[in-house]
Amino acid sequence: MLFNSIDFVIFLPIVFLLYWFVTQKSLKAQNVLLMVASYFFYACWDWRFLFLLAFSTVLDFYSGLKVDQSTNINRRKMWLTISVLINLGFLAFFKYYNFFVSSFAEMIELLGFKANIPTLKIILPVGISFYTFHGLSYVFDIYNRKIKPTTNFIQYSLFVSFFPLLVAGPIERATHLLPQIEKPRTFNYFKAVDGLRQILWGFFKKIVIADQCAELANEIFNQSADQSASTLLLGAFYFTFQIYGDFSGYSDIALGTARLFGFELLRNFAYPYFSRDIAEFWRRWHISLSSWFKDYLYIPLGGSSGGNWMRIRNTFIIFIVSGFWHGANWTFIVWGALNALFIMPSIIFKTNRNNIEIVAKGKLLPTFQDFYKILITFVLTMLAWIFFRAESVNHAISYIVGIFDLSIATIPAFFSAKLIVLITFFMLIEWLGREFQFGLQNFAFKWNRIFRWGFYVGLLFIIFISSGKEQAFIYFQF
Amino acid sequence: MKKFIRISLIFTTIVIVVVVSIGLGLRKKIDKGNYYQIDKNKEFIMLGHSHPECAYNDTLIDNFLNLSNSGESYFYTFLKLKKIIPANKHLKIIFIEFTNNVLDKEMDEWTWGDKYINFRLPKYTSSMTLSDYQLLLFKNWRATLNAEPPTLKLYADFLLSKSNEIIKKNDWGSYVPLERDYLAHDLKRIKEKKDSVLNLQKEESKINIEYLKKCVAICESNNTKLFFVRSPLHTQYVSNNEERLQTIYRENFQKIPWIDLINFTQDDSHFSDLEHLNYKGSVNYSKFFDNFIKRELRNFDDNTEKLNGILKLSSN
Repeated sequence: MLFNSIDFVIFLPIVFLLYWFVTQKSLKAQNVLLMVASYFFYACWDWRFLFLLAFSTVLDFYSGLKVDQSTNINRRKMWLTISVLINLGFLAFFKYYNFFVSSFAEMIELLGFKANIPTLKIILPVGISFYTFHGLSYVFDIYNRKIKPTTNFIQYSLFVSFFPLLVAGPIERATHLLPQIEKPRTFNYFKAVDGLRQILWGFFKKIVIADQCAELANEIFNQSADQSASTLLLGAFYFTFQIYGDFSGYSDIALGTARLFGFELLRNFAYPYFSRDIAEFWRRWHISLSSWFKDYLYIPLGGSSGGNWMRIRNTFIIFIVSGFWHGANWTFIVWGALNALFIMPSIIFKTNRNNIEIVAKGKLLPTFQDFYKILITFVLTMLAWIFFRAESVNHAISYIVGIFDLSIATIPAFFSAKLIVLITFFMLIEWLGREFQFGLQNFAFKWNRIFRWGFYVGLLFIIFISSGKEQAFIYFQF
Repeated sequence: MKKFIRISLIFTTIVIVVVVSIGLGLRKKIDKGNYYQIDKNKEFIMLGHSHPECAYNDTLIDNFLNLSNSGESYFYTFLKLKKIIPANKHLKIIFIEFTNNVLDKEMDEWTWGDKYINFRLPKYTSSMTLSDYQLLLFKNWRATLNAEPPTLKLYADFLLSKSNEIIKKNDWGSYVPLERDYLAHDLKRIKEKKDSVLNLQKEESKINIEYLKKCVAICESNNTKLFFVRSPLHTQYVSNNEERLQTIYRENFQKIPWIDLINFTQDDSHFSDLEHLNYKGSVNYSKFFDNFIKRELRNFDDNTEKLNGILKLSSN
């Protein structure tokens, strides 16, 4: 089920009313309701993969208990290894099998041998990368004795399958979400209203910005060989806002929905396009994944404790792995490597933590220097997104080469003044709300109710007339 | 909690009222406007699906406008007619394609299938009555509701564009020249007896015939002359429902003249595939049709008797 579908518009109020009016007296009943609703939510996409989700849940629940119960370090390691191997095995099979096979075949052919290894028609289970990482973080945390395992299967199952985050995150941690699942939730009017506002803003980002950018970006990327340099640049610009609107929009809807049920999920985006360097960008983009890799890969590899060489090596590793996590294509690996390259100067010169606070905090406008840095970071990010969007590395390279052409001075095709106005409006709200959890959180908050509601109705109307296509979210494929 | 529910309901009601009011307001404005008028010198219009869309090159036929649209079922043809006929009293003849695949069960999909509703319904919403809407809602509520936002956007865009030709602006149909060549592929399939693509389904689309009857009725009530036409098909086109088509015609539409041009040409170079003329074929056919109109239909009142029933024609 997509968030931006009529089904969800029906599903959400039903679950909400059942949750707060029918099951509100029993924590167990509320958790069972949410778990059943989550499984139904997932089954609407493909019920067959419910078995995979259930198996992964049972595996990690049981592994967690065994890791905790084992007093012998080797047995603890064994149960951890079993969990990791099976989880990553499923991920490798469903997501990477064909990539490995075709890459291996290409390599063999490069060496002059003939390779005829069959690929398989595999459907990628939606959300597998996300719920696998949920489960893994749980077992890792038990192994590292950060948490005790839960003995309540329903609660654990809800932690893995909670429908707002099931298919595209944020990638939750057991340390953060499980305690919320274990405790009774009480309805909080202000949190619920805040949740609705966040959902509204998420829909605006997805339906108005991302989906409309997608139409034009797709046209340009799909026929990039025939486009002028200025059009190619515009295509990259559209995609830059498509990916942000799409993914952060999804996250906003997920966080807002969870808030309606009394849960606070991990923040996933914090205005990444206002970052002043790439290191800051990566503290603000897909935060739950970045912190996952930091905690479970970067730090176990030695983190930054072993000097510059160690920092450089580990940074490259997590960026490349992060790129590969996104999809089985060399373009994602190059995208990861390119980001690692961009971040390298700040790693080497140890300036990567220079920009911790949000830009121009407490001020209306940034300094010229900050603005310049934001612009440079934005351009670098946009350049990297070309690899993320392209069909192949060659496509990305020819796309970028195409931008460096005299036709950059021509008027681009696919220029949409209406869309540029919408993007400007979007970024303006984001800028004004950058010190809050999401752009709309505080905007219009103190207005007279008539104006405030008028503003929200206006936003909903724009969302309404831009909708109707039920476009899937980009991150569903990851 | 009660406050939250109450405020959510009030807010939702306001949103619904605003959206519905804007939608109805736009529709009313469009209904009031003179947006459905066709050029006065266009006295003959052609309606139907892709067969006539690719066959009638209206630049070669005097006073003729091809408003066919590929994948169009009679439900949408009817919606077009509801607006076109009253707004264009000068029309002399309306031609509607009546051919074998109009009986096909696939016409149901063409009427309420997801992808068809999504791009077709917004164009014709202004012609719909509650019963038309109910049909779609009953058959495919999700796609019908999903078509509402694009509908609103399309009409808002139309009014903002200050255009006065909704037929052109909303792409109600036109001649489409075909350059592709799938004929060899289709013929090869027939030779290999993999001709399932050509065998029409046995199950019929009752709704399509119902709406054809409505098309006939609306022409009759407006005293607009209606002709059925069967555009050329390749001789290898296999149809297993010819008899049924003839029966349906005799039982329901006997009084509508049916110009049957199925065998107009046997030249392979005129076909894009078994069902569609290519550009060359359409030029040849359109010239013939232009002559035919001039010869037989220009003053059709004199020839009505002669033209009643099925008129078999060919290039020979």
